[in-house]
Amino acid sequence: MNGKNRWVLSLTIFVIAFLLICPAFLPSFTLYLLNEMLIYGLFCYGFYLLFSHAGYLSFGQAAYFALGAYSVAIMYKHVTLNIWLPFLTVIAVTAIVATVLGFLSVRLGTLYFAFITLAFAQMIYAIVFRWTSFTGGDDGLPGVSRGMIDVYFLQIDLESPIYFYYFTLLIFLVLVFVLRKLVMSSFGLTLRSIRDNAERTSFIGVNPQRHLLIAFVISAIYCAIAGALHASLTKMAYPELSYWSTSAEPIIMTLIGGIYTFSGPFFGAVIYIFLKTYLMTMIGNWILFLGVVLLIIVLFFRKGVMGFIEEKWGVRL
Amino acid sequence: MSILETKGITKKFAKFTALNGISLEIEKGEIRAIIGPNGAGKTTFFNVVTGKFRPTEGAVYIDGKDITGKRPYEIITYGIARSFQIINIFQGLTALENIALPVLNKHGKNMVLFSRPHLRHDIREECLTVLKEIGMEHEADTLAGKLSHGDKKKLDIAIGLARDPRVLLLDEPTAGLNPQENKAIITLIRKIAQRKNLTIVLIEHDMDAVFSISDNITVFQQGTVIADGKPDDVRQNKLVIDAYLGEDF
Repeated sequence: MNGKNRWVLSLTIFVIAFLLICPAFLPSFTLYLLNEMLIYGLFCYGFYLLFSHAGYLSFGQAAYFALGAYSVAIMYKHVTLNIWLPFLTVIAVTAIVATVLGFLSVRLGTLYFAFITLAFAQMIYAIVFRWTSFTGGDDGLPGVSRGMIDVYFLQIDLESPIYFYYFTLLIFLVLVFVLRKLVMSSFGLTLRSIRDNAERTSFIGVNPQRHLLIAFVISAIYCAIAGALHASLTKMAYPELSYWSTSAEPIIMTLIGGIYTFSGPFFGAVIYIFLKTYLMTMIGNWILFLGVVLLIIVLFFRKGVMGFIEEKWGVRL
Repeated sequence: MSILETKGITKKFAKFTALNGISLEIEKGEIRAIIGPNGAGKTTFFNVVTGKFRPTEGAVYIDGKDITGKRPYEIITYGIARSFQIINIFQGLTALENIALPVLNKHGKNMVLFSRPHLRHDIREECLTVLKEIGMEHEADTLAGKLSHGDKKKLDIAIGLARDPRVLLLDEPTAGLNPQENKAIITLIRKIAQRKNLTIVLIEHDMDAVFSISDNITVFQQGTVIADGKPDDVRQNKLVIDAYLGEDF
């Protein structure tokens, strides 16, 4: 391992250590923000797998974000507060919905993919909005629980912000580690070959649509778990979670962080939420400012913040 | 029995007939050249054989098995690989990764989710052997998009070769190359033709190369075969001279 790699490794350990010990000294509002950053980071990683590795820009990942949020909200409310069954439900429901919608979405190439995912997400929005008896319609489902962990000897009530933070952090670290393995694997390499040249990929013996569908389902599950955590954190599931503007958020965050760097999605979420929170209190019209930030990124830092640092320091972050 | 056989292949695009009843038999181990003027249907023929297009009529057999209408990723499992006229490689991946993809496919490992067989010693060695065969082992870690034009052409051929096909279809391997690179590619084709059990079908416009390396030549014109035979017979064929070669050849 050379000096730069060692440096990156120590930086990674430092970030993880910080995330682990920070509840000890951060005020509760900042901890809440950090929790939100982890959740959106996860959402971004879902988007990132499809966009950065397979080259397919989904404009409808909010559908799965909302699916996760509503599934967990309904399970906590009507079935059990113990996290296992609700989270298994989130994964199962998402896998089924994403397999069906993904099957229809990945067949038409990248441009149509963006449109068709948007269309499906808006459909989900319409269903959530109208199906008042099940989803609460416009009002959404308020008072979502954060659940509890209940195994034989161990009972942890996740209502406590600190416990819930650690719960989120654990899921975040595990899923990011899994994703890292995934993109470095032969499957990941094959996905990048599809991004590069899908036609040629089929001539070497790979059915690109099958690979894309699997990536799509994994991506959707990441988004849904993020959505489930979001509903618990904010104690709300509401229709806007599936609206197109929610789909735009991971896109913007990932662009800010850097689309072709592994740490980009997370740091993009950190920067975005930081800016959003503090600018909204300082200058009301923060969307205008966001526009300027995006313009600067697109014009001068195409590779995003982390991509820019990578290039300057000659490391892989 | 011939390794690759087509029976009466017709391919129509709307009202245009690109191929009109092409029947060919290609023997195991031969080098077959397909020549003919532009628009004669040569590349369309490759596209039908490798599954990019479904023929309007007719059938394709490999080793007697009917593969008509199968998808490209299915057809390659029967041992038919190809290269492309316009460079068709993975520009954003390294040369080694370009080769690793078909090698992984040969071993059924494109779907491995959590480990990296492409970095495993034996697979890496296998990829390097292919790169060595085309004389590019020193470029293993170069991004394919940054290679010279000639090396990209070689890599395109090697991607087809890496999966150990029984039939390799080469679509204008020397197109756009300078004379030096051209010579290198022809030498390479001669070399890979030595591989056991490899049959090569070649679309090519460089007539010196075609007549020196092929065992048999098929001449296409306007979607039909107008001549088929040994190089010397084809050279003297009146139809071929009129349609394509010209008097001076």
